[in-house]
Amino acid sequence: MRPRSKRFFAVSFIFIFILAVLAVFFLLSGEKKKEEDGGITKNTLPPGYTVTVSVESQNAGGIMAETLKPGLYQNRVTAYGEVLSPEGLVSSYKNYISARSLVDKAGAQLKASEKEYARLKVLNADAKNVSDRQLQAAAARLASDEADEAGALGALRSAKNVIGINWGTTLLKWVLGYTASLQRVIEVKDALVQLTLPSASSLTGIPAQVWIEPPSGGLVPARFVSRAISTAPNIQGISFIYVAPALSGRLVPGMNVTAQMPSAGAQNGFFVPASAVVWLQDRAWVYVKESRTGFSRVELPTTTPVSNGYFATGVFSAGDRIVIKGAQALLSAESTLKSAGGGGGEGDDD
Amino acid sequence: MSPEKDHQDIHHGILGTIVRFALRRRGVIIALAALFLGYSVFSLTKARYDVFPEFAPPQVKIHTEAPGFSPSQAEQLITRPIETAVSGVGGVSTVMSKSIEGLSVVKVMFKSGTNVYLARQKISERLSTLTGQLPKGITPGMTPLTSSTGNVLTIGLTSKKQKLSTMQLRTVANWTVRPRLLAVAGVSKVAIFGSQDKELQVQVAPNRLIRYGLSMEDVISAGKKATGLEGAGFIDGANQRITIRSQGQSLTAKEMAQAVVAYKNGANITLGDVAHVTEAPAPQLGGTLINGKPGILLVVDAQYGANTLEVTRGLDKAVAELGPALKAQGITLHPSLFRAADFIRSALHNVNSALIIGALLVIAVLFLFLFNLRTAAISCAAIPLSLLGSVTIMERLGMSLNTMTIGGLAIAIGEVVDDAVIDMENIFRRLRENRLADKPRPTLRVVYEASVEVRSAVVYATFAVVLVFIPVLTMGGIAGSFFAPLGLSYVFAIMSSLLVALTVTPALSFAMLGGEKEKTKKLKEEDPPFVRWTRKHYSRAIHAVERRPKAVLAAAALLIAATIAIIPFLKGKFLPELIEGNFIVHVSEAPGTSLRENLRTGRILARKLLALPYVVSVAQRAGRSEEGEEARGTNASEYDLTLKPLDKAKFDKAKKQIEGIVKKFPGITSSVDTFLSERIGETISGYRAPVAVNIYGNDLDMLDQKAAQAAALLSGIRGAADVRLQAPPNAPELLVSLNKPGLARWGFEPAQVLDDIHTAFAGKTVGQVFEGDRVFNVSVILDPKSRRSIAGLGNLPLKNPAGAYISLSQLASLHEMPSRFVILHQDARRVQTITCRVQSRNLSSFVAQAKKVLSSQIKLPPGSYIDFAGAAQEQARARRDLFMHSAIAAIGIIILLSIVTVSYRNLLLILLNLPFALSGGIFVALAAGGSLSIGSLVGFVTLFGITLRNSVMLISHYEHLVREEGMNWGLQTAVRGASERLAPILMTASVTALGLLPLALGSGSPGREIEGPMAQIILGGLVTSTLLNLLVMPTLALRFGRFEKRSPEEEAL
Repeated sequence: MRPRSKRFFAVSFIFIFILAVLAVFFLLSGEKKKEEDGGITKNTLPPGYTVTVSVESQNAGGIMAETLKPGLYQNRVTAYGEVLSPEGLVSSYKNYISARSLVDKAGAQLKASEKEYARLKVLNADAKNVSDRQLQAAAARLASDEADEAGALGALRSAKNVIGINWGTTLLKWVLGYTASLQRVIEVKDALVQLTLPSASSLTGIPAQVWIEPPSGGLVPARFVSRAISTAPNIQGISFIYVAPALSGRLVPGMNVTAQMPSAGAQNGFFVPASAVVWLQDRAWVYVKESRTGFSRVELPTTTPVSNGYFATGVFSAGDRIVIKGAQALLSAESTLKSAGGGGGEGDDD
Repeated sequence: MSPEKDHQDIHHGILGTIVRFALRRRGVIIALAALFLGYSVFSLTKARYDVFPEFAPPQVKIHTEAPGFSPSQAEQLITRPIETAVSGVGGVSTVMSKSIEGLSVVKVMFKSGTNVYLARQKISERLSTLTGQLPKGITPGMTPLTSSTGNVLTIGLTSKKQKLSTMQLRTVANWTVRPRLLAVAGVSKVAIFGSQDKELQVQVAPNRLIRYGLSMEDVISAGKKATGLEGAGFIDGANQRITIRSQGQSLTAKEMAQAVVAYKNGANITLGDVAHVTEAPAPQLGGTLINGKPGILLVVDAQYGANTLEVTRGLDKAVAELGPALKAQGITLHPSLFRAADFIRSALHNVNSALIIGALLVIAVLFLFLFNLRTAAISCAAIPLSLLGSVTIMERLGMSLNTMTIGGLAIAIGEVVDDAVIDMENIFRRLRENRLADKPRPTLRVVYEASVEVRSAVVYATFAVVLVFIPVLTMGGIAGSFFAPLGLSYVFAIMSSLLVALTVTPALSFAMLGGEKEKTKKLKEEDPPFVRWTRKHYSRAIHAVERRPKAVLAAAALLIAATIAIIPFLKGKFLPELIEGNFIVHVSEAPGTSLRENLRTGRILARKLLALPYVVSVAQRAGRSEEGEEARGTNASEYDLTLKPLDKAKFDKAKKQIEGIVKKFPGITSSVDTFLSERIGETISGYRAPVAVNIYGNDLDMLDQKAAQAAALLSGIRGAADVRLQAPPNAPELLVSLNKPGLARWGFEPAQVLDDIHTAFAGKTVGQVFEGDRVFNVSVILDPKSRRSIAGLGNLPLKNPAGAYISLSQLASLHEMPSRFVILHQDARRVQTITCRVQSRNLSSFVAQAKKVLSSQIKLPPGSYIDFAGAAQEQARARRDLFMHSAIAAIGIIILLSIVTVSYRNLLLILLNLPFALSGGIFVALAAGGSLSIGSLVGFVTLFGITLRNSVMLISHYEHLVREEGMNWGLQTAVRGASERLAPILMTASVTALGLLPLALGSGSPGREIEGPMAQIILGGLVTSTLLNLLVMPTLALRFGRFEKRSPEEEAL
């Protein structure tokens, strides 16, 4: 019994030991071998800027497409302006008038002096009916009046130049002609407004009429008068002078106003709402619905931003349907497919 | 004292002394026990209840708001200096950080066991050294200390018919609701989501700045002057000191609008001329929808170590008080959009009811076996005494009563009863024998000797079980955080039980069974009927086994071999899914998704989720709040779903259904978890997903590229699901590059331009205004229309020193470019993390394959490397720890058992029972779904402890029969010994099994998810180990055991 029991005991001990070691090994290694050859499947990605979303998912995500609205777009730029005081113009006009009266006066004086000199000259020549001394005095008066006239003419030219320099040729003409327009300005029925474009802006043509927004609100039509001779020093852009009805004090001198000025000719194109636009890689994109489930991402030129969106020309065709709700969801879907991790960012921290 | 008695005392040592004292002073002992019982019940009322033990290591979060900073700026200017400052603090294990737009979050994790208050102190000291090193106005702050399951309650406010805006609701939340909630004891933080705080905003129209010839600086200056408030001092008179109070600052939008900015052309230009002055929310960081409608969420966090149930009670009271006032304002209160206490209550209720049902079953079994009310009562008395002893120790040590510690108590019931039963059964038997003897000895003596007779083996067995639990107690990481408290409560219970068995049980036994002749007479001469019946059949069974020993042993060996063969087919998982009354759905869209788009998705999703019959409420948190600790962008949302009570099957179905709904949304990556599962996942790796692959390196572009490659490779591995980059590239960023020649030409300083951009788009606080006791910021910012487009930024007018206006586009180039939404660091190194879930596959094998694939296919530059984190790693680590410590414990157990057994053969016989136990456990695991969680492994450890104890008791009884009672070793002795141990062994097994049966059967109900599988393993193992212990062990002992009478030398000792 004893030797047999020893043998049996030894065998069972070794058996248990081996089993225990095996158990530990298996528990530690799990089912590594079994899973070793679990194959890698190919990651199939859709080509290019397209994404396919089932109708069910579109409904779930509230994706909504809409036919693009064609339209005529007039780009505008905000000009900053000031209602000019007519005082300077009145003063210029006064200066001009007084210069002109001086010229007239000098002319009349000269005319009289010329006639007097001619008469005395005839009398002097006719047996010296007048003395040489008298003739010489008349000649001196004539020379003096000629000089006075030249001076008055110079002053008039100067007055005109000043007006021209300060107000431009159009307004110079107003002053020289004392036009009805000038009269309305002087009578404060109309107001002159100097509008200046922001320094980086330009216009392809000067609009004949713009709408001015006075501080009190509303819009006032203004007619183009001329290019301004000087710019507003604080704006540093090109400047224009417009005339607008003063409307009983709605536009008074010194008032700061703005005006929307068409910057280019009207264009045909499509309005793209901001809700349709997504930005990626420094470019703006719009998803165009190509089929029931297919969407393609189309680049949107952003050169013409409009209120709440963009105006696009040359990109879309009439009848194109773009995604106006859920564009970001499509971008997410596209990036999720491409990177296998587009969503990311659990945002925990935790 | 007689010489015989002296011999006995020396022989039984200290145990004998204790038992003798208990018997002599039985009245005192019983009175003390009753007193202790009363005190323990009182302790129960004070105990801290929680759903789980504190499982997160001590950690400190440093939260730094940096309005207007891009992720890379936040990383370089804020995160880096903070990381440098805190690195090197003693006890730090990991430093993790996230830098997102406008926010830097640095999480400093300390080694387990670190005093969290000391840790905060150290971090605070380091942060104070950063003064002057961070950008102007940036102040880092530590978030309030909360526990790992800190979120106790989420409430919501919505306006009836949306009469009040979310900003108005926010004001109510901020100034009425939050202060009341913060006043509740135990609340550490109330974060408000949904709208930013109300501000008095000066929304500057750029056109008007130009029109009036003003700059942003002029407006800021006017704003400051209009709201500036200075103390005016006092007049110190001869008799009185009179305080001067000055007033006159602008307090309303109307007053602010009238504040003068400049005087030009004989007229005042006011703030109202250049800006729209209005009440508006600060720039939004996040938004909230409650059941699809705009609202405000208040997320309440409890203090570290607070009693969740008590805090919730306090909050409920506060919310109830606020209800009428809110209703009067037309505000609808949603009082429980998330409520941790509900799960705790139902979990504790389920575990407690399992414990109570178990205890009742135990009492029934005891009565069945003992068939004597007195003996059953004595055994039953041990249960509350031992369990409450453990509870009291835990309460004194500051441990909470949670599903794990209560689970530990449930497991201990078997051994607790066993301690009492062994003692009492032996006393009962000896008393009966004594009564039948010719010359009955004094009853006290009989009780004493009977008690001491079995005590030594019980003590050794108990210590062996304690040793068995060493691997559980020393487990590291999150597994240790969960199971060490379970082990501790178990060990406390069995140590308490040992003390009870040494003192109270003998005292009660004598008092109730042996005190008077009448009582002794009541002891029946025969065994109880059930025991008699089982013994009769057992004896036959042993003889039957003995007739075919080889066949039986071969069958046992076959069973063990089959067990080993099954093990490789079991799936490993870390922790099972918790069945809470909620789901947290995380949804992310592409980085850069706007809040508006996020909320649009939220509205649709909420509508679909609310249509599900079991969804009670849906609360969306999009983005983040300034008090929130989550570094979440506006592209991400968290939805709190409150559910009607569901059982496991419906819960699983609900989860699938919700996942199905969310996945239908295009471009969304999502995860559906329960709150606690999520918190556990986050604690393990910082992420919710079970697999996290970290790629370290310095070059962010390289990291992005390699991470994308790794993500693609992971996606291709079978079982991979929800593969996602944690720091995905392609977040839209508008780069404003100042043009130096342009600046020089126009006479601008770069700082001035940057400052104007900051003011225009991030806003600048220029002062405060007061409304009663409420304080609101006054800020200057660009008008909303101009802030909405890239063109608006380009057109921003900047005024140079000469007074000229130049648009920003003339001074800088503006380019939208792909950038990073978040920059991650781990231990101050840049890291890109890819997380994924694993479906229909073993987690460990997935990780093994992923490691192989990534290491072979991704070539990294020098200095860069890949590592894996997450539940799979944690599970592997826990397993390694468990096996390593098991090996050490095994050696200790062998040494201990070698003391109690006379022969090493007998020791090996004891150990032989362990594989028997393994069989049952493994078969049950296979039947229950074929997965082994860490809980299951702990179940095995527990099972081994119980099995070991049963074997020790049987073998030591054989030794007792031969060595103490002088029987000859042979079939008769083997049958007698086994028959005598039959009742205690069967009792222990059935008591343990029945005690755990409610836990095992209800493993799908809340609170039993972790312990359920553990209880199933123990149940299964107990069946096989008990059967084999009773049937095969005597046969084995007969052949291979060595039981010899005392040698003369031993007698001499």
